[in-house]
Parts: sequence; C-alpha cells; structure tokens
Amino acid sequence: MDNLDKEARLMGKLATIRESFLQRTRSELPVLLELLGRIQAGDSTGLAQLQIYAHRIHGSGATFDFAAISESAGQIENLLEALIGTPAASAAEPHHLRCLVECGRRLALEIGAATTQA
Amino acid sequence: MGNKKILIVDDDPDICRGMQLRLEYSGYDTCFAADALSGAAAAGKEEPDLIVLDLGLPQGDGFLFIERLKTHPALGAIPIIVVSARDARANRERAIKAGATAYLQKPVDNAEFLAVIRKALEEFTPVTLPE
Repeated sequence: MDNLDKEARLMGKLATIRESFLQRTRSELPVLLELLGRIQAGDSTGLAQLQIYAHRIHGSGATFDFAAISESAGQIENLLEALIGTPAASAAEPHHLRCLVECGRRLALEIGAATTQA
Repeated sequence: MGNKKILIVDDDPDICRGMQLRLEYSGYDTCFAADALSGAAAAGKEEPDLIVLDLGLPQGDGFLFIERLKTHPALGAIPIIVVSARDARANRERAIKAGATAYLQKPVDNAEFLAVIRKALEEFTPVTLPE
C-alpha cells in the first residue's frame, strides 16, 4: 500500500471517529439538559457529572473541528468551575446560573445543527 | 530497535482512538489509560518512552498524575506531553513546574504534536535502576 492510500485510510478512520463523537454527544444531550435543569432548580448533586460531560465535549469538539460546540461546552465548564467553588450551588450568583442555562441551550442548538450538516 | 511506545492518558475514547491512529501511522506503538490511577499503573507496567496526558481526569487530575510520576525513581524521567482543552495561560506554567515537558492546547495541530513528541523522545534517556 503506498503512502497516499495509507493516508486516505487514516483520514477515513478519523472521519468515522468524528461522526461517532457527534452521535455520542447527541445521545448524551437529554441527560446533560436534565442536569442543567436540576442545577437551575437548586439541586447541586449533578454538578460534577455535568462537568465531566462539558469537559469531554469541550476537548473532543475542538479536536474534531466542531469549534462552536467546543466553545459552548468550554463556557459551561468554566461556569461550573465557578459554581463548584461556592459553598452551595443554590446560593450561587443567579447570573452564573442564567448563563449556564443559556450555554446549555446554545450547545443543544449547535449539536442539532452539526448533526443536520453531517 | 523496536518502535517507541507512547502511553495516552485520556478519559475520552474518541480522543484516544484519534491519537492512536495518528501515532501508529507515524510509527509509534500505543497503550492507554482512562484515569489518573490506572495511568500510573500503566506507566509502571508498560514502561512507555513518553506519556501524552489530559488534565481533566477521573480519580485525580493530570497535575496529581505528573507530581506522582515525577517522584518515582524509574519512571520520573519519562517525558510527559500535556494535551488539554484547558486555558493554556492558566495551566501551562503549572504543568511545566510540576514536571511536564510540553503543554499543547486542544485542538492540537498534528504536525506540531508529532514534532513535540519527536523532540521529547530525542532528549529522553531512560533511567536504569541497579538490580
């Protein structure tokens, strides 16, 4: 197999992983939105789980060239870091919570848009 | 001489698989760990020539992993390349101070990634402990 063939096969495999990232992220979206709803309602038990989701989407989204998805997830990750640093999430600054929910909505829209384009 | 072995410590299977493909295409062998604890165990078992490390990990973050590894007599010299989506301004200096060889922010340019790995491997001399 020559180098061009090898590179084409590599690119094909990377495209499959990119698609798998998008599918997995889309399938996790309902859980992510539910966690956001719980946090908005003052339940802080899902903060750590949501942070894991946001971190993964932030890093992988950037790696697989989904810049908008990665940016929204990164904003969620930063907001969560600020919330986790407070004694109780329910007492956290309401502005942070509003931003968190807004970023979640935007992330859902961007995942939907990327799925449509794929 | 066999291929150089690279341990990838990242909890995201898509990232691991993507890195594996790129590294094996470039002639390296790879192995994986998905959290800080199993990463430390894999480093001892696999004795890699280099470690690619994410910072946000379950079971202790990447900084803890670096600090633990750097105090190990045999494994402490293994170069660690941090690849993270976290803001480089806030984390690069801390990672380098802890003992990382380089800090790359995701998304990583593939040519830069491979160049940093090549350079780190050239400069790495494994430590052999007396029997």
